[in-house]
Parts: sequence; structure tokens; C-alpha cells
Amino acid sequence: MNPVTNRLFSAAGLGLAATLFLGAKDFPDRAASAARYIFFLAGVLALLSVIMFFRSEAQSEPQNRWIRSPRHFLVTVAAMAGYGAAIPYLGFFLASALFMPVLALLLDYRRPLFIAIGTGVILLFVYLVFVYFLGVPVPMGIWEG
Amino acid sequence: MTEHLVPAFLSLLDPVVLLTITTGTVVGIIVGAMPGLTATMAVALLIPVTFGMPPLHGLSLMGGVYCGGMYGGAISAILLSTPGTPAAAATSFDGYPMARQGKGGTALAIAAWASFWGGIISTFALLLMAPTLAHFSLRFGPPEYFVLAIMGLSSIVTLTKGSMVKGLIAGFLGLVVATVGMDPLSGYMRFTFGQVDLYDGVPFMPALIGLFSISQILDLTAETRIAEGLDGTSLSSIKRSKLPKGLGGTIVQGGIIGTIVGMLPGAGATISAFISYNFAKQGSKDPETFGKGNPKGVAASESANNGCVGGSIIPLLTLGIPGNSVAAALMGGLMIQGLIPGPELFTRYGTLTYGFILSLFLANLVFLVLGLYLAPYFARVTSTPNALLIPGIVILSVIGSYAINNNMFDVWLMLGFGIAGYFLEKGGFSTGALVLGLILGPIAELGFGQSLILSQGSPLIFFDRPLCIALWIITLLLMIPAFTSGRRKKQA
Amino acid sequence: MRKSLILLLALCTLLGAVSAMAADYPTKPVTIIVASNAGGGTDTMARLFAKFAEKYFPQPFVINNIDGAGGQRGFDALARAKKDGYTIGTIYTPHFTAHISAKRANYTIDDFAILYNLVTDPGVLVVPASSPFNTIEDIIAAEKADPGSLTGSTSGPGSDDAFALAQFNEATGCTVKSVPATGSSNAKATVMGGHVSMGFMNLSQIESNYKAGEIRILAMMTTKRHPSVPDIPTFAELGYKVVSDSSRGFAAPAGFPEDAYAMIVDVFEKVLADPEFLAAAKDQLEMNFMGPEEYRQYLVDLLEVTDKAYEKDPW
Repeated sequence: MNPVTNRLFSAAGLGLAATLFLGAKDFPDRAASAARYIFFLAGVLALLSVIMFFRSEAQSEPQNRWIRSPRHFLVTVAAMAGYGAAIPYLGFFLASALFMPVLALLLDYRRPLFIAIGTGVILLFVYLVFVYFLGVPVPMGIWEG
Repeated sequence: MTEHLVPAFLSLLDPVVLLTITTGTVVGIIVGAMPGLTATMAVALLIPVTFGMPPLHGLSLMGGVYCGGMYGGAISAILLSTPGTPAAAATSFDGYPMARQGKGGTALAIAAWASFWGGIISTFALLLMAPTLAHFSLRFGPPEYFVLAIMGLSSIVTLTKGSMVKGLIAGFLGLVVATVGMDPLSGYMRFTFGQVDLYDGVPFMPALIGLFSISQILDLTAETRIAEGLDGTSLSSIKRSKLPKGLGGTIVQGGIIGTIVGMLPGAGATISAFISYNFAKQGSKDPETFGKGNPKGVAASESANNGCVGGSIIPLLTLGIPGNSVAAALMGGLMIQGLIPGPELFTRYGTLTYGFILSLFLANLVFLVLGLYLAPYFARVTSTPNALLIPGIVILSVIGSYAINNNMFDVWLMLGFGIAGYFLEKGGFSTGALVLGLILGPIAELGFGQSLILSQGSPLIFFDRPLCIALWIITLLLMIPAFTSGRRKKQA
Repeated sequence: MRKSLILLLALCTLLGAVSAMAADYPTKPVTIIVASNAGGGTDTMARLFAKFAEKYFPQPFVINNIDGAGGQRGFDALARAKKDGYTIGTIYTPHFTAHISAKRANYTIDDFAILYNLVTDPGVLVVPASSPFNTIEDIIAAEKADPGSLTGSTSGPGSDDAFALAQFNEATGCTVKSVPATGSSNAKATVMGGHVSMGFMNLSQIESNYKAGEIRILAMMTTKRHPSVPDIPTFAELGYKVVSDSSRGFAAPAGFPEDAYAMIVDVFEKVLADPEFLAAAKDQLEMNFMGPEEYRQYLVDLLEVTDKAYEKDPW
């Protein structure tokens, strides 16, 4: 880990501590003890962040790469976001039936038969366990009767 | 008691009862392995169904769900780093690294054995010492809960692999996230931004799924398989390898911890697993191998969470105080049969009650056999191409987060925690420590607040009760190895 | 590839779509929005009702648990549900009106077509068997001897237990401090372990412990003596004004089709008279049936009480 990113994390920690402090200042009197607890947490968080800020150079932690495969990482995040956004409209089953093949293809998987089987098995399993046996509602979107 | 045991045992030999136990356990394993489906849900669903059945059939069915569900959580925690139940979170710390090393089958077998013995130990406690233990559990008041939470939080020190400061920051971050929602003492809404979905706090299960499961698959996008460095030929080695030796002590210790913590309403299986993990790590000769695939980590966590099953039923049957939400649902199942918790259960309805207790032994046996037999097959998941596994896990995580409260908000929260968890983990902050803060924060805070009301503001209440002092001593003893070993390394 | 995709699409459409062909009500299952987790008291009530209602209704009732924010998410969802006759839900007090009083609710009582109340769980004042207190007078004496030393467990701000504690303090002049617990089990363990001086609870939570002699009930917060524990005096008999309970029942969204409402009311009438239902419910639910009009009036009256409580001591 290089010192710069550690310092970024320190700054974020201090920022969060400050936000907490400001937020808890507005608590009403009846929640005074709740506010005290938040002040305590904010204080400790700030202290730890400061320690991390100054110790970051001394520490020799193994280097690691933030994202090992940027393209795959980004398509996965994007596909998840698209999937989440699609569920309320398309319903869980249709959205999933699109999401799985699309993401598998984007991750460079090229065996349509396995993709189809995998998608079918997962959706059938979810249908049987969630909907059929346990009666847990899944989002239906436009299919809502 | 003895006069009831023989007829109780005989009543279990009915093939229908054996079938209900097996069915219940299988359902439990499936429900437990799926994030978002809980044994509580399954038991609640069964309550009206069991009304028409003879009492023992219904109760053994629900008992099977409970036992199987607690074990089932381990399967997904080990293979996919997706704890099916919160209680299996600690199982993934070492189970998932084992799966990555191609030892998924072994890890699953260890989980099955540890769960089995944890369950057996706690069921023996339930059978032989229920009334005594139940009254002991009542001695845990608010101050004791506070110190117990501190004991759990002290394992943040244990969970950190690299920098202690970063571990502490992660733990405190968890405590901060846990303050969102209604203040338990005054009812004031903290940091909810008028969002109804946050009134009860950040929903735990979606956060857990995000931090453990989604952050993990984001990392997997750079690899082709979970089991790393394995080519086609060595895949068969996933199947069977010898169980490591020397787990007995860890498992017994975990079973006992699970039984005790399981009896305490509001503490629960998740905490017992973390505490047991901490005990196992601090008591071991090579604590640095924990978190990297030490079989003891799996054994400690699984024996403790299954130990909670018997533990939570102790105060349920004797005092009508269910130790957790599954036990609470189970209480509904008892009452619908006209069985009111209390001393009468062990006398007037003795045959039935002891039959139920004995059926738990059988349920443990069922998941042991199934677990051992199926472990190699389940373990094959880790050799599935990631390009299929990743979307599959996302789908299950999404529906699992949704199903808990039927809420899309939770799904977005889960995805958000997943991405944040990925970068925190990469930055050297342990998501395990964060989760620990998230679970224990509310318990510590409430216990602290309640205690100060009881003592009219004097903090002495945390130090003048014998149980509190005992818990403080254990906490300190558990901390010692973390500091001394650190110093030793520096000197060397 | 494309073929398998199309096939999948077709499969999902089949699974997803519920055919809603024109026919007489009801043509599809009726959803019950349960504003609590699976496995809780309200959930059990709804599931029991659903099971027995199937005898009297051509379609099944399905449970949809929408938990969170003290029931508010579920109540909100019910108020906003489609008014097509296929969604009803549970409500429970005092949370239902407490949210309105706290101005957090996105609904009012008028957003609901009230159905039946099934359960009324009266408030009780309890002490563990080991407690020195045998009567309310003992508590008042202890207060006088050492003011401010008494504690009582409740289930947190805005709950019926907290209202009961406030009423108790006002009626007796005591200054009992509320020790909020999370959940029924926690409250019960705190009381039975003797960690607090007394517990403000509901009868169903502790009835079995009372019968086993593990706790004592000092007084009931009802207007009349309760049939399950006829020996226990009410606060009113002892000369103090403390009345509190928690109730659970059903409602539909306002604007529910009239014929559908009439049919559902009819189902309730039949289920509540079904001896098998009564047998299943009697051990775990403190049954107290109220019809739509009576139940609605109860809620309107309660709203006044919670409004006043909020003005005095917000949560």
C-alpha cells in the first residue's frame, strides 16, 4: 500500500468523523446520551485516522493492485447496476434471464449451452425454493397481476 | 425424566417421524445455504401446516429445519464466501481460503463434523441441565451484555491481519454504521435522512452479503475459477482428502461457547461464532495462519453456531424465553399444539418434550451424513468458471437481500456495501472487523445505556458484579496473545 | 444461443405472469401484507387466519411480510396498495397510531377500510417472584424511601409499555425510570432475572410464567378483570388510572371495492366462529374480536391518547 492512498483513507476517516460530529451536535436534548456516544465514536475515528496518516510511511505493507482486471471489474459493476435498475420494471425473472447471459458474455465466456443451462438452473431453483415452496414474493415488475 | 425417555425414544422410531426429521433437515440445509432465506421464515411457514399434525411430527419437522439451517449456512460461506446465515460469517474467514486452495471438500466435511458435535453437545446440555442453565442465563443482565459485547469487539484485534490501526478503524466504522436508525433509549432517529427504510438501522443481512459476497466476486472478475491454480487433473483432489487432526478441542470449546451464548436472548449464534473463533485463534500455537485457511477456524465457528441451537431452546422450553428469532418462531409452533413453555412440558408432556429433544440428535445425524456425502459434489462449484459463477452469485445475492424485507432499497444497499467493501479490503481494512462492529454496536450501546439507568449513572455497575468481572478477565486473557506475539515479532 | 434465450424468455413469462382474466371476484389469491417479520405474533395470527380462511374463500390468502420501522413500512405499503380487492393487511397498536402522532407516517386512519381486530393483549405490571413488592403500595413505599431508584423494563420509546409506564408514574406519583429492551425475550429476561424493579409487559408474554409461579402480576391495565387471570385486580380497582393494551387486527386500503369488502368481512365472520380456528389460536393469542365499526372507533380514540403522549414526551 503506498502512503498516498493511506493518506486518502486518513482524510476520508477525518471527514467522516467531522460529519458525525456536526450531525450529532443537532441532536435534541432527550437524545443527549446518543449524541455523546457519537462524539466518542467520532473522536476515536479521528484519532485513529491521524495515527494512520503519520504511520503510513513507516509501514511496509505488500503492494497490491487496486483492480487487477479493470475491464472485467467495470463491466461487472455496470451490469449489476443495470440489473438492479431493471428489476422493478422487467421483474426479477426476466431481468435475471437477461443479466446472466449478458454478464457471462462480457466476462468472455463463449459457451452458449452452458450459459443457458446455468441460467435455467438458477432461475428454476429460485422459483422452486422462493416462490413455490416458501411463498416469498419476488419483484414481478410489469408481470404483476 | 428417565420415565419419559424410553417412551420418547420409542415414539421416534415411527417411520413418519423419521421422515419428518429428514425432510425438515433437508429443507433447513437448503434454506440455510441460501442468503436471505432463514430458518425463521421456514419455521413460521410451517406453523399453520403443523397444526393438523400430531405434535411430535410437527415439532420434529421444525427442529430439523432449525438444525439443518444452522449447518446449511456453512456451505455457501465456505464455497462462495456468501454466508447463507449471519452466523456463518465467521466460517468464511478460513473456509473460503480453504476453498480457494482447492480444499473446499475438506472444509465442508470439517463444517459438517463440527456442526454435528456442536449440536450434540448443546442438545445434551438441553437434555440434562436445562432448568439449571436457564436460571443461570437469567443472571445475565444489561451490564453483562455490555461486557460480552466488549469481549466480542476485542476480537477485532484478532481479526486484523496487517495493521492494527486499520483493523480498529474498520471496527469503529462498523460501530458508526450501526448507529444509523432509532436510538434505543430516546427513540430519536439518527442519520436516517427521513428514509423509512433506515429507521430500524442499516439492515444487517444485505450489508453482510454485500461486504462478504459482492466484494469477493468483484475480486474474482480477474480470475477464471475460485479454486486457484488447479488444472483439470488436480480437480479430483477436491473430492476427498483426509480430515486434519487435532480439531477435537476446538470443537468441544465451540460447542460449549455456543450453548452458553445461545441461551442469552439478543446475543445469538453470530456472536458465539465470532467469540469461539477468537478463542480458537488466541489459544492456538500458530495464530497467524488463521484467516488463511486454518481448519480450526471453520471448526470453531461452526461448532459454536450449531451449539446455539440447543442453547436457544433451553430458556425457550423452561421459561418461555426464546434465545433468538428461530426459537421464537418455534415457540409459536409449540403453542399452536397447546404446549405452553414451563415446567409442565417436562412432566405432564414429558414424553413429547423429550421426544422433541431426542429428535434434535437425529436431525444432527441427518445433516452430518448428508453433509459428508455431498461435500465433494458441492465442492465442484469452486471449479465452475467464474464467468458463470459471478452472475449466478449476483442473482442469488440480489434476491436474498430483497427477500428479507421485500425491499429494493436493501438490494441497492447490498450492492453499495459490496463496492465499498471491495475497496476497503484492498486498502487493508478488514470487512470482518466492520461486520463485527455492525453486529455488536447496538448490543454494546443498549447494554451500556440500560446499565447506567439501572445504576443511576454510576459506571461501577460494570465492575461490581461477579459475572461481569469474570467476563472482563476472559476478555483480557484473550487480548494478551495478540499483543505479546506482536512484540515478539518486532524483537526478532 | 438466440434460440435458448428466446426459450428462457418464454419460460420466465410463463412463470412470471399471473393470468388476470375477467371473471367474478375473486379470480386470484388475496395478499395479506404482514407488517412484521415471519415468526412473530402478528405473523402467526395472519398465517392462522390465512389457513382457516381457505375453507370459506374460493382463493388462497398469501402472506407478504413487510417488516421494518415498527410496522410503518407495512402500514405504508397497505395504505398505498392497489385498491382492487386483492390486498389486505395487518395493523397493530399502539404503533399504528403512534407513527401518526410522531408525524412520521405517510398515512392516516382514513386511508384504511378497517376490518376486524383479533387480538387485544392487555398491559400488566409484573415483578419477579423474588421481588419484595407484593402490591402497588409496596412500590410507592419504596419510591418514598429512596426516590428515583426504581426501574421498569419497557419495549422502548413509543411502545404501549412506555405509555403505561408514563401513566403509572402520573397516577402514583412515582418516578420509575424506563429501561428499554429490544424485543420481548430481552424484556422478559431482564424482568425475570431481577435486573429491574418491575416490568411493564403484556399478558401473553408472561402468562405461562405467572402460572408457573416465576413472576407475580401486581395489576392489570384493563378496565375490567381479565378472564384468563380473574384473581388479578385492575389498576382502576386499586384507585389508579392506568389503561393500556396492544392489539392486532386487519384492515384493507380505503377505496377497496364494496362487494369484495363484503365478501372479506363474511370470511372473517366465518373464521372467527370456526371452532378449529379458536382451538388453534387460544393458547397463543389473547383473542378479542372487534367488528369494523368498533375497531375503527378504538383506533380513533387511541390516536388521541398517543397524540397527547407525544406532545408530552416525544419519541
